[in-house]
Amino acid sequence: MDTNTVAQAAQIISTAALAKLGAGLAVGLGTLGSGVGIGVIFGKSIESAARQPEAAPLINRMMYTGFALVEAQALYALLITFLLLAAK
Amino acid sequence: MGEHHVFVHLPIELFGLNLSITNFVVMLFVAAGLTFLFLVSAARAFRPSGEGRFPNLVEALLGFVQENVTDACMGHHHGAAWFPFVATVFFFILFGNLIGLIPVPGYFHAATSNLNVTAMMAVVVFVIVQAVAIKTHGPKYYLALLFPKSAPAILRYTLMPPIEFIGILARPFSLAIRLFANMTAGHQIILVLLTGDLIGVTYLLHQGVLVKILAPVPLIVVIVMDAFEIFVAFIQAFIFALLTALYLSEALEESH
Repeated sequence: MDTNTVAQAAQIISTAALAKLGAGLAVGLGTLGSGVGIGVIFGKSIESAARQPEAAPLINRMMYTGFALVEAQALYALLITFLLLAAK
Repeated sequence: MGEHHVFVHLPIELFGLNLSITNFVVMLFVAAGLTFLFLVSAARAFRPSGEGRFPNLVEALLGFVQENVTDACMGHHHGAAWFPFVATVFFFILFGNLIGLIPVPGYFHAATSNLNVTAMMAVVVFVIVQAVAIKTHGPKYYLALLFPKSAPAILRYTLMPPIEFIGILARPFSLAIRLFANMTAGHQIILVLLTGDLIGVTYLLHQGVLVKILAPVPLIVVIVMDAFEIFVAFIQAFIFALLTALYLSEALEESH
């Protein structure tokens, strides 16, 4: 890419627009990993609870613990989104 | 993100710090007052014969905390000693989360939807955990932590200390941000759906009758999100208390 064109584009595109673009990218890419993580956690929990139903309360508790910890990762990305949306 | 306006009720300025009573502070007082009233009135109404619905409710909650949080992480002996602290953390955060669901527009919001509040809780937990660790193991606790024996000698003095240091510091950060972000995100979604700020929603409402039938859909989604917010409030209080008990049990363990 011609560096002159990029420099001219960077002068025209405002930082607020770039911030909004970044905000969208942040939460979009951030929830990818969290989605995979939640799927794995719940899948494995259901599987192991089906193999051993007596351990189901313990598995249930660990499942919710793992869910909250994985959900937090997606919310870190959402926090960055909020910070970027507040930029001018 | 600033749809909560700060209403200053009582300006107080002490030693250059702004300690005014704002609506945020009033929310904190409400959360703390609810915790106190909830637990103390249950303790007063407690009968050994097991009658009374309200003491039974509180006892069920306290039993849940003791069984799943303290005893599971710290064992029975330490669990009994640290149960009041962990239970107080749990109930304060629970009520701090739950009062955000009461719809007084413009005034009521979750006390924990403020990063200052969650950071305060995280710093308190962090300081207490470090104090307990130093009291149990002595200051050489940090030697064993920053230079772990389980790493080969090449890494133990060069690469592991910064990694372990960041790992220790990441705990209060993650505690604070996890609680804050969970509380803020749900309410943001509800707010955006209710005010119709979504471009698609207002556009849909200007179309024909057939599309206007879809108008209640955001309302139903908001109701479902509200139910989910109650669930998230309980889960986040549980997670904060669980991680507190976990860090305490790590500080208390003897095998270092």
